[in-house]
Amino acid sequence: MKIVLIAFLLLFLNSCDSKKTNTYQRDYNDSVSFNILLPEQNKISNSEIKKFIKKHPEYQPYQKKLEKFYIRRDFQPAWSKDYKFIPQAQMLVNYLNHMNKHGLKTDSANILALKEAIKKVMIRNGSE
Amino acid sequence: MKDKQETFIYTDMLLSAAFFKDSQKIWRGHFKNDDLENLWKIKHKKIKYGKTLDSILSSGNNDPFTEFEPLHKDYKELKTVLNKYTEIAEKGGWPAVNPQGKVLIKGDINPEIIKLRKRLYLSEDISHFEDNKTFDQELEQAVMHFQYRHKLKEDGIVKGETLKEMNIPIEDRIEQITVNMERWRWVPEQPSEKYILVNIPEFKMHVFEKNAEIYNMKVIVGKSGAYTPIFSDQIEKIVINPSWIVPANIATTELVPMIKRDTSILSKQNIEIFTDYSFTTMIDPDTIDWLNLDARQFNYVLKQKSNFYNPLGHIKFLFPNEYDIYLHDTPSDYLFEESERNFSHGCIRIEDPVWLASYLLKDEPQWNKKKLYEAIYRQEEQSISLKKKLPVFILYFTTWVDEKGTIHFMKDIYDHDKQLKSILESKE
Repeated sequence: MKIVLIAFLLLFLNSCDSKKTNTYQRDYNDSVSFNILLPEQNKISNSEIKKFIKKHPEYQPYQKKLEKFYIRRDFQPAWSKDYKFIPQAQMLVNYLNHMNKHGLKTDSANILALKEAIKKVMIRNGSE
Repeated sequence: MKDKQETFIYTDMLLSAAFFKDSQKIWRGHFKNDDLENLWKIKHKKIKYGKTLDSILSSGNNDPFTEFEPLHKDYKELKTVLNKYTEIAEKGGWPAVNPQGKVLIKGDINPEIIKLRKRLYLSEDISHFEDNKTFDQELEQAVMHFQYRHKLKEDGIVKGETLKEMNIPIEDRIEQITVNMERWRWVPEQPSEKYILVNIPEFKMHVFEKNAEIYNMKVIVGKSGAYTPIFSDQIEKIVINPSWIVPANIATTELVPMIKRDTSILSKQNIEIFTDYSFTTMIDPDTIDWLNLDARQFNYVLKQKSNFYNPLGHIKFLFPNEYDIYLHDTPSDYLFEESERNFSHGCIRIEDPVWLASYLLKDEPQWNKKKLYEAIYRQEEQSISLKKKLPVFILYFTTWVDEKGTIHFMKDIYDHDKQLKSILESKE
């Protein structure tokens, strides 16, 4: 019974917080809104970014940019809504896949990693 | 569930990181000014990537990323040609023309002419391809068009420089376009309503109003070892009948050796000698032992008053800068007849200084072309500070597309393309 009560209280606290976050999102940017508040462990905090950079040192020069970006978003994900990718995610992959149209080398390994990561999320999404 | 959340977070960061890493390569180039040393001294445009990404994420646009690409017409036109050339390259490129030492000229019949036709068809100098071994008038016109696009003598004859340029592989032209597109990424999007652009490899100066060219003229730029730097500034002052304060390196390497041979040059060319740049104490040339003087030890300052020999001509245009570069007239007009005009010590000699002076002074009622000529004829040095400064960009583009959609290729006279290409490769 105690466990149920604590869970209920936690849910209540989260919903209050959720309202705050949604208001912030509306002030900040009308069209990007998240209907659900992600639990603490799903926030993109500086420590998550640090872990990410450790795994991908090639992005180390952009660590500060990433941190600033997610702080401004209150650590909320940028490319998804309700656990679904927004169209801009695929558009970015396509855009970077055609860097050669600008006379630049397309980073094929990077494109592959992006495609695989998106695919992985979609499979997991479908399986649950 | 936890696994799913972690994958989501990871993918989100991966997308954002890829955006920050690669979008700037397309939108502003992936260089800092420090990487480029003497290749580019103009501050790169700034893009706030975080805010740009916010705007993309909230955009309802079907193609939100292209909005942030360089807006320059020149960039877009080069991109179109780049993609056209890439397609040709993927199909094997254009053929090399090898007439075995023979000159190809109108009236000739030679199997190599079929390759010539194919080459000129692929580069759009001739509208159609036919399996014809005869060098006819239409082909001659096509060769002349090719020569026009490469700043070569337009004689319609295939030999020497024409053949050399024609046999540059398409892959090299693709690299040339790529390097020049990279430069366009660095140029401020809308420099100003009115501005001057000097394109060094083209040996030309263009005057723009609201992004449309209103005038252009020939220029003479720095020779080998005295390259004109790539930078931007604002014209602040016009000097009519300017004196020339001889730069120390020109004094010691060129003028002093001439004076040593014949001291009468000083009086003939109206050159005075001063102790220093304050120009307060003049030196009597007869007190100098010219015969035994080591030119490298010459510590005085030479100043040449305005006259027929003064290399600055009748007018100079100042935009004070750390390189001591300015635009000026020249008494050596004949050099404008040359097609490659890199003869100066770094300053830019212009073909029509009176036009530029009257353009800069057009809003000042006390000045017009007639008054300018009168001031020149008075032979007195006169400075005019401009009420409105005019931005000037001294740039380096070896390829561009003109208003008819024709692509032009110039020589990489300072090897800047070559250097930039190697920096680009090292960054990849």
